[in-house]
Amino acid sequence: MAIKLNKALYRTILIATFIAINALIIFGIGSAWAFMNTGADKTSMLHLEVPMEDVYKPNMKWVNLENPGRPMEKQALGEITNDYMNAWHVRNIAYKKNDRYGIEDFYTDSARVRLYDHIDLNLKNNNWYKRTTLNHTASLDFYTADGTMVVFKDCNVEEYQETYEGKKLLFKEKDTTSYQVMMLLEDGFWRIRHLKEIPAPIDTTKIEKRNIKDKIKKIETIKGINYYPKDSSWDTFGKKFNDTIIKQDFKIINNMGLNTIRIFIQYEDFGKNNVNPKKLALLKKVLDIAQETNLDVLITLFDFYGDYDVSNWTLTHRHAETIVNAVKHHPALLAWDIKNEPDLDFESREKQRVIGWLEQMIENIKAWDKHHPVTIGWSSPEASVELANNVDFISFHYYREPSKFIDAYSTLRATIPTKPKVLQEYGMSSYKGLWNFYRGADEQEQLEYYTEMQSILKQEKIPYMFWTLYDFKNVPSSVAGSLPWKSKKQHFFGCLDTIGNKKPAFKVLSVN
Amino acid sequence: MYFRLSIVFYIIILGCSSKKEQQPTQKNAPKIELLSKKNNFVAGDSITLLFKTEASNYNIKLQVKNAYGNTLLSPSKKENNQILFSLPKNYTRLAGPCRWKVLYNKEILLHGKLDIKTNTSKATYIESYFGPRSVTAGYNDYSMLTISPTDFYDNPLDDGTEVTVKYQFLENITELKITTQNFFSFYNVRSTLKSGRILVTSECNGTTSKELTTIVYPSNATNFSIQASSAHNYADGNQILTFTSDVIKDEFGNTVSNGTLVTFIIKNENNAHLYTIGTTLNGIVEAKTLHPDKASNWEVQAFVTGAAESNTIEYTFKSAIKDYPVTFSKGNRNIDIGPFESFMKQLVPDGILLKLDIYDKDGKFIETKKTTTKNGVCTIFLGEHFLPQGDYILKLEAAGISKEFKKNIHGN
Repeated sequence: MAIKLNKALYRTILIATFIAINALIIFGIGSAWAFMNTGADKTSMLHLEVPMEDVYKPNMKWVNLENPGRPMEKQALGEITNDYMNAWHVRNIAYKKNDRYGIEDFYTDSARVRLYDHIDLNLKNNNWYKRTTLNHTASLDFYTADGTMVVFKDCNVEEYQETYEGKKLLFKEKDTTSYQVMMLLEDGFWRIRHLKEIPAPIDTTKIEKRNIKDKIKKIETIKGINYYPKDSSWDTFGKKFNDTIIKQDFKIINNMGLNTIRIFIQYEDFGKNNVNPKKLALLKKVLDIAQETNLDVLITLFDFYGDYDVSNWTLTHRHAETIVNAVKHHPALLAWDIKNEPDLDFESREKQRVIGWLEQMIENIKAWDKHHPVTIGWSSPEASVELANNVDFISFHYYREPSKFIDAYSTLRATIPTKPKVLQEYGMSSYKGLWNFYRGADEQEQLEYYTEMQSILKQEKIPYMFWTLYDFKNVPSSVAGSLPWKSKKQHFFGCLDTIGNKKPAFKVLSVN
Repeated sequence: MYFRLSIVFYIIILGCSSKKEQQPTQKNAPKIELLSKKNNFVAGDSITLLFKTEASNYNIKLQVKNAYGNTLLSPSKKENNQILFSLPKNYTRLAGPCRWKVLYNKEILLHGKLDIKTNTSKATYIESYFGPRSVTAGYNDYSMLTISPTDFYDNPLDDGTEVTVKYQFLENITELKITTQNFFSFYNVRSTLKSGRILVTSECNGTTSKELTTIVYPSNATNFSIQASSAHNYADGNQILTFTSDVIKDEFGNTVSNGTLVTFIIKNENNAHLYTIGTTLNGIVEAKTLHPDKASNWEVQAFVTGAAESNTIEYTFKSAIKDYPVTFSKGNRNIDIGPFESFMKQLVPDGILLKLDIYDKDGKFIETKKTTTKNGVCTIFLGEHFLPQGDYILKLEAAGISKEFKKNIHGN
C-alpha cells in the first residue's frame, strides 16, 4: 500500500515537474520573443511631428494680418502660431529644469545663446522658475515675399511665474508684457530670432461690466440638493446617462419644494483641454430639463482634477473656457463652482500652488462669463475664508455635529460679513452596520439630524444644499477608496433609498 | 448669552489674528533705498544697483527680468549698510527694459525698471535676406531684400535707422536709402525685362552686407517655327527624321531658358498621333523620330505646353520598297518572302514588319501571323498540326504592299 502510494506520489511529482519545466521554457521563449519585438515604434522612422497640443495651450489670437509684405496664408499662420507657442513652451520647461533641451528647435543660433546664458546663470545661482503664459494677442507687422521671415507684435502677454530657490518657493508674480518678435523659417521650423519687450499699446477694447445681481439674489434663497442620478453616482454624464431618469428625479426635487441642484463636471470625463462635444450636449440636456422643472443649476467644474501645476494651467483654462462659453447663456445656469473641496489638496499639492490656480481660474471665468457668480466649494466653514475677496459668494461644506454648526457659521459670518454664504454640502449617512461597529446613525437618527439642521438653517436664513437625493448602490473607489469601512458610509446619504422609497428624513427635507 | 459671548470672543480673536498677520510686515519690512540714480544705459555698459539698508538685511535678493528670462541675484558687495548688485552680462547686453525687484522673505520691497538702449557706436552687424532667389523677366515679379541690422550685442537697431541699398543689373547700379521699421527694412527689387543676374548689397552705419543675387529668368516662350530634315524621304523604317526649331524667345526677346520642354505632335494620314520631345539648348530645340516603313504623309506641330506653339509643317515619305517576291514550297506550307529591296536595290534593314492573314476557302478568318525581316528575307511555316490539309486564302502585307494567294495546303 505504502509502495503504491509512494509510486503515485513520485509519478505526480515527476509529471508536475515536467509540466512546470515546460511551462518555464515556454515562458522564457515567450519573454525573449516579446523582448525582441519591443523597441521603437516603426513609425518613428518617419520622424513624424509629435503633436504639441496637449502640453501648452494658452489663448492666442491674431488681431491683425494686414502687412506690406505678403498676404498671410492660413497654413503658414498655423505653423507660425504653433512654433511660437512651442518656443514659449520649451523656454518655460528650460527654465523649470535649467536644461537646454528643445531650445535649439525654436530659437536661432544667436537667440539661443541668450537663453543658454540665463540657464547657466540660474543653474549657478540655484534658482529656477515655473512659468506659463495665459493670453497672447498677436498682430502681424511683416511677412516676407518668400515666406521665410515674419515680424509680429505679441501684445499684453499675461505671464504667471513662480520663483524658486532650491526647493523653496520664494514668490509668485503675474505681469503683462508686450513683445515684438522676429521669426525665421529654418529647416522647417519657425525659430525666434529677435524678442524684444516693447511698450504696451493702449488697450481700447471695451470690457463689458459684470452683472450678477439677480443671480446673487437667487443664491440667497437657495434651497437645494447635490445631485447624482442613483445608478450613475459620480458619473452623471457617463454611459448610463438617461434623460428620463434625470427628469423624474428633477420632478421629485421640484415637488419637494427645492429650487436648486448642484451637478459635477469631471475634468477627464469631459476630455480635458479638448472638451468632448457629446458631453457638452448632455450637459445642455441636463440644463434644459432643469429649466423645464424650474430648477437652477450650480455647476461644479474640475471634479477629480488635482494637479494644479503651472505647466498645465493652460490646458485647464481651455477646458473651462469651452464649457463656460457653451452654456453661459443657458437660463437654468445659476453659478459656477470652480472646484469641489480644493482645501483637501493643500497638503499634498502645496497650498500656494492650489490657491494660485484657483485665483487665476476665478479671474478667467469672471472674464468669460459676465452674468454668473463664481464660488469655490470649500470643505469646511474654516477653509472658506480663503480667496473670500475673489469669489462672488462663499460656499462651504459641513459634515460635523449640528450643535456646533452655528458657532462655525457665526465665525465665518463675522470674518466675511458682506458676501452671501451657502452651505453647499451637508448631510448624514444612515449607515449603521458591521463596518462601523454599529456606531453610525440609522434612518431615525438621520431624520433627527436633518430636523435639527433644517431648523437652524431656517432660523438663520442660510441657503443650503444637502447631500443627497438617493442612496447609492455603487460608489466609485476614487471617491472614498475601496475599503468597505471607509466607503460604506458613502452609500447611505440619500433621503430616498436605492429603489426610491422615501426615508424618514425625506419629509423634513421637503419644503412643501 | 453663551452664543453672543462666543461671537464677541471670535470677533476679538479674529481681530487679533488679522492684525498679527499684518504686523510682521510692518515691523520687519526692512527699510531700503535705491542709491543709484542712473536709469538709462547703453547695451554693454556695466550696470550696478546700489541700495542703502541695514546690515541685518544683507540677505536681500534682486530679481532681474528681461525679454528672455529671469534671474535671482545675490548682492555682490555688502558693506557700510549698503548692498550692491551687479547685473550679469546677459542683462546688460540686451537692449530694452530690464525690470528689477528687491526681494526679502517673499516680499517685494522695491521694484523698478532700467532702460537699456541699443549700442550703435560700437559696431553694426547686418543680416540680410534676399528672396525669392529667382524671378522671371517682365513687369510683375520681384525679389524682396530684407535687411536686419543689429548692434554689437545682437540687438535690433531702433526704428528709423537709415540703410543704404545698392543693386546692380548690367551697367546700371542703383543706390537708395531706406529706414528700418519693426527690426528691419525691406526693398522690393523689381524684375527686369532682360534676363540676367541682379546683385544687391546693403550698408548700415558703415557696415556692408554680403552680396546677394537673384537670377532673372526669361519669361514664357512665344510662338516659334520648326523645320524637319532627313537624309532622304523614303519610308524605309530606318532613317532618322530630325525636327529643329528656330531660337525660341520670350516676349521681351530673351532666349528661353535651357531645358525648356518642347513636345512635337505628329499626325499621319490615318489621323493617328505620334509624338516626340526635345529640350531647348540656347533657345533651339531638336527632336528625333524614325522614318515610317511605308509611304506616309505627316503633319507636325510643336508646343511649349501652356505657353507657345509652332507652325504646322508637312512631310511626305515615298515608298522605299516597290515589290517583293513570294515563294511557296513543301506542299505550300513553307512561305519564303523576299528578298525585300529598297530604293537602290539594297537589302532593307532588318525589322520590316510582315503580316499574314489566313482565311479558309469560304473567306472565314482563321489566324494572323506576324514576323519581321532578317537579312532582307523572312519565312513562315504553316505546320500540319496548325493548318490541316485544304484550300486557304492567304493575304500578305508588308511595307504597305498587299498580296493575296489561293493555295491548297497539303503534305507535312
